[in-house]
This record gives sequence, structure tokens and C-alpha cells, in this order.
Amino acid sequence: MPVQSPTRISPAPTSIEETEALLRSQQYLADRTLSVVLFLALKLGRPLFLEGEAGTGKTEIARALAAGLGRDLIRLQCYEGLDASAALYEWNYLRQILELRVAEAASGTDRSKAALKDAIFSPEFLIKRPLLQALEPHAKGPPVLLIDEIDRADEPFEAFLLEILADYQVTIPELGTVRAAQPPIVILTSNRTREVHDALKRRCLYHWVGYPDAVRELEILAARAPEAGSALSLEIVRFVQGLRQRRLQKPPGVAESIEWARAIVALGQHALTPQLMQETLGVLLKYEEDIAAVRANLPGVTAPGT
Amino acid sequence: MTDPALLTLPRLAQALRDTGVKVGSGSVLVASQALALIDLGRRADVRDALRAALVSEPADFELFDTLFELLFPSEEKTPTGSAPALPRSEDLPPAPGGRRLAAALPQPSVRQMRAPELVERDAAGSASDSEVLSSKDFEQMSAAELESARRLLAAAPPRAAQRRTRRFIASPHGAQLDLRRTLRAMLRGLDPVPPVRRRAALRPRDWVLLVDVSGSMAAYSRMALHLAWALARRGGRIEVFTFATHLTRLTRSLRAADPDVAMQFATRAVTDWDGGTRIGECIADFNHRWARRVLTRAPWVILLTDGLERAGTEQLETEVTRLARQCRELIWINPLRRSPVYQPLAAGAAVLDRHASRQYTAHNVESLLALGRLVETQARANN
Repeated sequence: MPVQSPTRISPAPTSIEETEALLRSQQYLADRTLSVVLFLALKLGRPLFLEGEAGTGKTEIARALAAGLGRDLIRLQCYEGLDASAALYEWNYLRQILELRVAEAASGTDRSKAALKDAIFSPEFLIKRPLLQALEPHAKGPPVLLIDEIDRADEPFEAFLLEILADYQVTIPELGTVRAAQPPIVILTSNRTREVHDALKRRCLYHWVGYPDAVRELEILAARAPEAGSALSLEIVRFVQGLRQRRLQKPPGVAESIEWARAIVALGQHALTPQLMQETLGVLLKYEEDIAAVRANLPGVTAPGT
Repeated sequence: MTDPALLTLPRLAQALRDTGVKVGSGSVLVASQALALIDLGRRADVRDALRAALVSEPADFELFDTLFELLFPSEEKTPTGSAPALPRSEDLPPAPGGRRLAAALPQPSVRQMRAPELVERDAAGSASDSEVLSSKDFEQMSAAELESARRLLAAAPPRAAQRRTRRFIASPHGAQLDLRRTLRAMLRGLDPVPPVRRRAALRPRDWVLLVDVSGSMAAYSRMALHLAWALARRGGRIEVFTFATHLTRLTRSLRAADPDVAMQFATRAVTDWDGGTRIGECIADFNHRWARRVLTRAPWVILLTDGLERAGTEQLETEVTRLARQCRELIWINPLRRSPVYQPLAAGAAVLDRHASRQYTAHNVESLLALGRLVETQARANN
């Protein structure tokens, strides 16, 4: 186990306004609801469950929070079949087997079995995965643990996660119990490709991350893709907001808007022309049907209201 | 601690529960802690805080917001010390969740909200825009129907087809070495060390059931729901939707352990029993709202309909093509096939005929069970 080093914890925000300012300092423009919920999650020490369409900036919230607080960000990307050995810890079996063989070959007489066993089940042979890392002491204070796309993991992993989130400790039979002196800041995200079990959601504060309105999206573009300039950004936001009103398989998220702005600038352009839109629609839309549908009536997709 | 917000919280929680939102006492505790941390003068913040703690399903947000409006009136007129009384259902705004709300609040008017549509039985068979809002009780099923359903449930439903997962189990002929168990064997002193192998574990493939509950399908859709309930018991994830004039998700309703309770929930949830059919539009709705959520693991999609589309077939063609591409098998169960001379000539049926990977009939219990056996055989062959 690593030696406990003296920790200096960056001050957590003491009000909703400070929370908003903290995110803003990292170029993340949060709406009031998100600030309220995030502030409460930090204050109450509860995990925050963020759900929403892909590309609405869920993962980004964790990044901004970690950077703003000066904490480490530990990310666990979920996938189907994710289990304790990939999420928590695993012994390096290959090295252990080699070590055993070497020991057997070296000593003609058997070293005591118990000693050998102790030797190969030492921290040296332990591979620490994100959840274990998050429970260990960190010099900069409790880290931000991002459990990304929990909907991709399967139900058994959810149950396992519940257990970890309940008491922030794990027991490694050969080594003992690791307990977080201060629990990490936990953020879970889900794209909602399946429903996550109520039990897990109930342990968390819940926030639905939607698409921003036009004004906020414009601010986001100004912060994240300033090179696009305000005129182009306005055109982009109008067009993208219009697209979200349509029945597309996958409406573009904020990430796509930012990407599109950058792409257009990279092409040396400063205004949207039908020609340019034709050529770059693939940055915004990821389904052939969507692209075809939008291409068919390119000039007419701007939202009426904006 | 006599703040009105704190006093009203339990009522809010109870009202949410009454509308079917699951609210645990742990969540209520968190909500009360949250209230202590924020400025209670800012009503929007209070709402955000309570919502984050109590509700974890965006579909319930509107319901929550309405209840919040009712229980936390914006004018500060609430007399301190006594929490406001629960509102009556006639105060409700005509929000989408209105019916669920009305059912949960003490009220005289629920009956009035539903009654007028009950008489429009003859709308069945015509795709009229006004839905037949009858909410039928399963007690109305004929004795023969009930008997069929019972027999269906008594017989073992088909074993779901399997798919490989990314988890591993020990297997003497597996393709991979199991290092962990090999090491354990070495430590036990086994020499020579026996090779320990593993292979991918299997689990039941997901099912998605799309059940046509329009007038022409009335006799079959109920049985299909019983079958769906039984399948869900058998293991494997199953999603159930019904459609006639609009799409309804029944998965949660059918989760009840008791089949009668489950069917009661289902009957209440579906509002277009015996309505007309708009298959294309409903599948479009499914593709748009649900496909990316329930078709992620290459499921078997079972479409139970007679394919009698009232609208044009252009939309049906587009949407069925899209649906067929996203699932492992698109199985079309068509009661009309029971006739030996049946041909899918109707425009809608022709479209389904082109895209379905298999077709079966299911006009009575025998044929449903036969279908079950076929699926099971296939499941074994797939392994």
C-alpha cells in the first residue's frame, strides 16, 4: 500500500454560485439546475448520476470539476462484461507464475510454501484498476471518479458498484482492506442505451443533461471554439438548433456543434454556404439517412423561432 | 425546523409514489438534507434540489414539476405550521401526465375524465384519430380465452436464444487459458500443472415484443401479453410495446410477479385497445424513441400484427427497413396465416413479408406453443 502522504484539499465550493463559477473557470458553462445539483452532490457526498443524449457534455462535467478543484480525475470506461478484475484490481498472474517457476528452479530445496505465497501476493504483483486507485489516498485530495457510460456495463457490474459506493472500501483477501479516508467525488454518466437499475440511481443525485438553448450554445461556442467568431457561431447555432427540432436518428449534440465550428475554420471558411454544408454535414450527423434527409432540403432547416 | 418546505416534503413524496414514481425513504432523507443547504427563498433551486433527490427518470419530470407547483404554491400564503392540503384533481392542468396524476389525488372527477370515450366501440377498425379510450379489464375476457391463457402459462415458454457475453466461465475445451486458476493449481502443488481453460459465457438473447392491439387483433394481443409476461419470468431481458394508434411501453407494467396484477397494469396503461392501426407511424416512433435504447444487443424482435395498415405504406417501408437492420431476427407473427390460402397481398403485409426474417402464425394456443418449440430448436442450433 502506498504511504499516506499529507493531503491538502482544494476548497470545495460553498455556494451554488461558486459551483457555477468553478465550472466556468474551466470553460464549462453550466445552467442553474446543474449547478444546484452538483453543489448538493459535493456537499452531501453523494454520487452524481448524469444522464442524457450522447454529446451533451456529461463527461466534460467531470473533467471540468477535476481541473477546477485541482484533483486527479480517474476514469472508468464501462463496457459489457466489465468485471472486478478490470474495474477494481487483478493479480498479474503471468508474472506470478513465472516467479513461482523461477523460485522452484533456483532453490533445490523447497523454500517454505507459505513464504513463497506471501512473496507472490505482494503489492508488487497487484495491478490496480480505476476503482481501487480512487479509494487510495491522493496527494491533491480525494479524486474525481468518473464512471463513464454505466449503461454499457451489465447488471452484475451495477450490483458490484452499489457495494463499492455504499462504503467506499474493498477487501483484497491476500492483502487486507483498503478504505478511502475521504470518499472520492463520484460522477456516473449514462447515454441511456438501457435503463440503469433503480437501486443504483436512488443512491445518487440525478440530473438529466439536455441540449442547451440557443443563447447558451452560443456562449459555449464562444468559449470552446472562439476562433469561429460570433457571426459564424450564430449561423451554426441556428442551424443545429433547427436540426434538433427534426426527427433525426441522432440529433447533433453540443460536441458536434463545437466540432463543426472547428472544422469550418480549419477549412478556412467564415460563413455557411450550402456548398460548405453539403461537404461537412458528416461532422454533425452520423447516420446516412439523417444526412440524406437534411441534404434534401438544405436551405430550409433553420428553426422558425430562432 | 417548522419550515413549510420540510413539512410539505413527505406529502410530495407520497403524491409521487401514488402516481407510480418509486421514491424510497432514503431519497426523502437526502431531499431534506438538501433543503438545509440551499436558500429556500429561491423556489427554482428548491425544485431542482428536490427533483434531483426524488426523481431519477426524465419521463417523470413533468409529473414532478406539476406536483411541485401544486404543493409549493409560489405565493407565500401558506400558513406556517400546517402544511397545505393536497390539491384536488380538478385543479390539474391538462398536462400529459394528467391522467396518472388524477388517479393519484383525492378526487371526484377521474371517472368523468375517462367515461365519455367508452361508448365509441364502433370506432374499432377505422383509424379514427380519436382513440378509443376504453381501458378494458381482463375480467371481460371470455372463459375460453382465459383458459387458453392459463394453458399457455402452464406450458413452459420457449427458452430464449443465447448470445455470447464478454464474461468467462471455466470450460475444459475453452479457447483461452485461465491464468488465475492455473496459478491456483500451481500453488496447490499440482505437477504437472493441468491446463485450465475458459470460454465466453452465454446468456439469453434479449427479446423485443411489438404487439398490435388494434381492433382486428384483439383476440390475439392479450394472449401475446400473457406470453410476454411468462417469457420475462423465464429469464433474459424482454421489452414489450403495444401499438394501435400510438406506441405504449409495457415493460414496467409487466414486471409484476403476479400475472393478474401485471395484466391489470397493462390494461390500464394501454389507451388504444381496439383502436385503428397505424403501423408505420408507430414503428417510426419506436425507431426514434426506443431503438437505440432497447436494440443495443442484437435482440430478436417479434412483431405481432396482421399487417393491415390503414395509412400508406411508404413510411412503413422506411421504418421496417430500419428496424430489420437493427435486430438479429425480425420475426413476424401473423394470425391471418392460419388460412392455408393466405397470401400477404395487402400493401402493409407485403412490406412486412419482404423484411421479416421468419414468419409464423399464432391464432390459437397450439400454434403459439408450436412457435415456442421452433424458437427453442433454433436457440439450440445457434449455440
